[in-house]
Amino acid sequence: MSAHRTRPTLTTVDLAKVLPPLPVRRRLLVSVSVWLRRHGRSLAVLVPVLVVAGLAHAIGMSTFPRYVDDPGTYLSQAWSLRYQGTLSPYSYFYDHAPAGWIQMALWALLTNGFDRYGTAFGFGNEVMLLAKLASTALVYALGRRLGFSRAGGAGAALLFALCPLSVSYGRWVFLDNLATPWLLGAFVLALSPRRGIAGSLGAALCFGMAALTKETALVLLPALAWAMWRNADPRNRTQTLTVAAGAGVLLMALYPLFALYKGELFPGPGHNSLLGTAGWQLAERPSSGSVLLPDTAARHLFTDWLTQDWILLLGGLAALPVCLAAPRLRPIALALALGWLVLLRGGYVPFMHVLTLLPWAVLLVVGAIEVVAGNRRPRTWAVEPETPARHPRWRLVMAGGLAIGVLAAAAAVWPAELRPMLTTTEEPPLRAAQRWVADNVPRDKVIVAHDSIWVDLVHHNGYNPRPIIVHKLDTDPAVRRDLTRIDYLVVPNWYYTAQNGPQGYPTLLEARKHAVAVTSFGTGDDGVTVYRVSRYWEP
Amino acid sequence: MPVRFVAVGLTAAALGMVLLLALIHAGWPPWLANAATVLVTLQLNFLGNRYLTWRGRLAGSPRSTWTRWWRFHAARGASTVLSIALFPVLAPRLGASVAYWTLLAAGAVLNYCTDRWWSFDHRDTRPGARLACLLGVSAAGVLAAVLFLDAFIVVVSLFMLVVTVTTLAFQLYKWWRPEHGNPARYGSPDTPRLPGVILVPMRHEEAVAGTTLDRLATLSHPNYRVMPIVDYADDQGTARIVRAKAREYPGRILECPYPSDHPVHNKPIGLNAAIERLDRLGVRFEWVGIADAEDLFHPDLLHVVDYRFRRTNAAVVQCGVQLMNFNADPDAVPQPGGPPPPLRRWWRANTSAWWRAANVLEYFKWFQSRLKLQAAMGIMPLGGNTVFFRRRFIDTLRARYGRAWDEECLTEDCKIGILASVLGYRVDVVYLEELVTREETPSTLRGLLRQRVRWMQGFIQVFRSGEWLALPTRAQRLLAVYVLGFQFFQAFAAALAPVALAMAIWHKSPIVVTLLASLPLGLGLLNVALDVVLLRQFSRTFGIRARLRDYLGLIVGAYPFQLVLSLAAIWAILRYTLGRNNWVKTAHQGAHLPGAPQPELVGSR
Repeated sequence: MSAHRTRPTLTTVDLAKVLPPLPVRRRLLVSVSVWLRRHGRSLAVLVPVLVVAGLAHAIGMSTFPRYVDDPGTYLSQAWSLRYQGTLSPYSYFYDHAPAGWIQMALWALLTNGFDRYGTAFGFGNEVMLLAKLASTALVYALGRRLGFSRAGGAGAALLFALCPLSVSYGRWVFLDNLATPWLLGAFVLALSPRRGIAGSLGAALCFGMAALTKETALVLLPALAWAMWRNADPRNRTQTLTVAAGAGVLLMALYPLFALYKGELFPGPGHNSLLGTAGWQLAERPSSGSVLLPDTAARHLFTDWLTQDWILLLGGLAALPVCLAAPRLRPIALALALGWLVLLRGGYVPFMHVLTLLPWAVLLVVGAIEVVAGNRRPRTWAVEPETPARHPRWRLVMAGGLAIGVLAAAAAVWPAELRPMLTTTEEPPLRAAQRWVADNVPRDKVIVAHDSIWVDLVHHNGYNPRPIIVHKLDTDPAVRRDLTRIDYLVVPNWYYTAQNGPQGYPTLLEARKHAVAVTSFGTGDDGVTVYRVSRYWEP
Repeated sequence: MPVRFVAVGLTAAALGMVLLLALIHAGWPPWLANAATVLVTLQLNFLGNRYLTWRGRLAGSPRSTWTRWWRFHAARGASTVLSIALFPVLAPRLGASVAYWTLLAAGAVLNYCTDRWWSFDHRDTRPGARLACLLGVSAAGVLAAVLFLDAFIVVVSLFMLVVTVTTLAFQLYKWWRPEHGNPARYGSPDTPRLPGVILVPMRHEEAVAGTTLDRLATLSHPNYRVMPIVDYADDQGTARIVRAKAREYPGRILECPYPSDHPVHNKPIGLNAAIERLDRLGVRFEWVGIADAEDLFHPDLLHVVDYRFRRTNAAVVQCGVQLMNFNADPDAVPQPGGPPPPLRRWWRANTSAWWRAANVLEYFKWFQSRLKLQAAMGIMPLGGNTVFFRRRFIDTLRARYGRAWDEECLTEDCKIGILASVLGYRVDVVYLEELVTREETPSTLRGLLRQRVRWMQGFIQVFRSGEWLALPTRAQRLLAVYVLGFQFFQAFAAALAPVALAMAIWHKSPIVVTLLASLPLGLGLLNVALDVVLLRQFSRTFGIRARLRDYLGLIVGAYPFQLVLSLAAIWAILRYTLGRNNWVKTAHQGAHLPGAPQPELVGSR
């Protein structure tokens, strides 16, 4: 046996010899400075990108987009957790896993969020801004881990941040916006070049958080599992994946366990149940149809998305086959494909489903350009790619042409879409209505209100009895039971014109028959008319 | 003395009352004023009793005032908790004021007793008192748990969470990063050049002594000796074999008689005697290795040891030891007293496979991961064999303590490891599958229990003897507490996990508490899953087939195994409390040897 010396690596250098002489603080400083030296250039690229992303998201976020149904509900649940310790101001019926508003409530608790703004939506917008910044940074990080150049990573992050769809949908307080950073984080950790247990454990926990934030994230599990499997090293793959799977399942199991301990896992008379609601969501919800068929809800939604931005949506789809050539990009391609399958399969498609397509579409578009340009890192799973080959000129020309094409298309289409998002100053009608109510309606009146102003009426205006969120009026048995009178209706007009009104909100419609319009704000479906209900009418 | 005790108590109470009124008057919130008063009166009581009531008795007592202070506070705290707990029970039956005064009087008597026989006792603590104290503390703990069940569940769950997470993290160290499992991580050994000696303590080892010595005498190393340690008067069967082997390998095997003046037989006494004998014989050696009587070292083991000594400059090289007989194959079961009829063998093999598999995996995880991590952190309880010490370390120990191994300690191997850490010597851990020393599990579950009791008791001894307090950094001392207490933490954490959850559900604790109590159990399940994965890996690495029933046994037996460990922990604590420190040796049957040799075959090559 010859005494050849091996190159010192982390394992041959004895940790005990190197570490103990340094005190903890010093070791921390050393590792921070090492980290900065390694990632300094990335930071220099990323910080300006984040500034641009933040500005594009923040300017005008209080007045655009218009109010829709869900955000106020999530904010009311976060408020309820923060101030009352319950998961919902009404009985929690397992419509979504609660991690999203638990995070919001935590942030509110730590920063006194609900008191820092005049409206709960101010706080909600702040949370969404933070989520957007995190997502943008993680798109860059994930791009780098997929083997992109710094320019590619920064381009992906910028496209993600400036895409009109991501600006408008990203401003709404949707759980998907909170789940996106967790999902991206899961992929970033799953592709950790260290290939240790910590990375895959972190990936599994991030994915668990994503699924607990918005359960639709579960759709992407095959893509993440594939990425983890491929990235794992044969020497510790079994242990790594077992630990990751165990920890992820354990974290996600907390949700059904919560229901089980409450006695609300299985359906039964007289109580809500997780499985009951899940069964309804999966099976009985009206189908949106397939995107491929004309005149379906999914098709309308899709057309609406396309008018805001077709570049990333269709570009991602076009880039998909190119990216299949690069093994490291295949799990991302699978993620996008899974998102598209939801659109095609013909079941219920959530309004904000586009949010689950965007990050992967961006990464594939940029990834395809990188692949065309001859970047070899996305094409191998090795930590250190073989010596970089010289790229043939035609590849660079082609990639440059593609990049310019994407940028030119964006420059042509996006500004027109982004302008109203950044410049609208008109106050949303519901906001005006809330102020009018606060000025004119005594605090002891029973108000049926839209969810987006509920927290403000309760928290800032102190209405007691608490206003009733309009869609709880006919769905929550407890609300029905305790209802003795209704004094005011502060609900957008679309509730009165919706086709499913008679089945969905019979009490609301009945109350309006016994009410007079007092004032109104805005026009059309988005307008709000405040009604005063006759005191002789009993619901 | 009772008079003085009462006088001190009344004075302190009066002063406390004055203080309380003054504080309330000064506008302190009542809870703060009460707490401050309690603290002050406790100190007054302590000082008064120490320097007035028991002054005469304590003159010249070796026990420090701090010890007494701790004992005093523990005892008073317990009696206070007890009184507070009993008051709501007694008050409705006796009336509030009667209950109050009764409890006060009973508390005073109790306090007097604990002061007299514990806090301010002038003699060494007797086993009975220690046991009473242990029971008292347990009773107070149980009472507190019953009274504040939710808080108790939270505390216990957090504790279990810490233990299970660290257990998982530590035992997975080898797989934290891919390069931890690099086959070339130990380098390639060159020609050995350090002379050394392998010590083999033997006692009633007729079944294995011949085979072991044959193997040890023919290892691949140019310059080493083997020194079996046998009691010639007491153990003539083994002595005969050893003598024959010494004749067969002259110059290789040196005999060492067990010191005849010792009434007790244990391993450290024999090892110390061997070192002295080496001195007397003038044998040149640079390292000392330890083999148990049934250990078949790999022929190339000394190559690696020699190389690692020189390459890493370590003072200790610990090589892997691996229990092998995990499966339900009848040949895998150690059979004391010859093979029983086949049906019984089959039955015994199948009914013992569950704990043998768990035991085998413990070694697999211990030597591959935990020891490596502990070596990296510099806290190192060593294994009992296949461990090699550099001469300078042995000499330092002898210069400091007069002998290398602690003869009173039940786990001298753990102690010497801790001493190495304290003295700043480096320990190198080598686990190469092909080089591990193969061993057998104890032959019965009772044997396993006894072995564990001994280890745990030994760890208590090492903990109490306090050498670890001299470790340089606070992090290391904390880790030492963790490492020495680990067997207890793990046993209790695993056994308590389902209990805590069941209590939380039964008591209808808040849901967050119940969820918290579920986490340790969930991690326990993950641990079982990892065990299954590791068993598969083990069976592949060593080419021993693991059958479905082996996996099932491992899964089903996971919790009972933890119960056995908990039982061992309780037993060890009781034995330590009662002062029973004698040695319980594990019997060796040779089931790990290929084609288990029979006693009559031993001696013929």
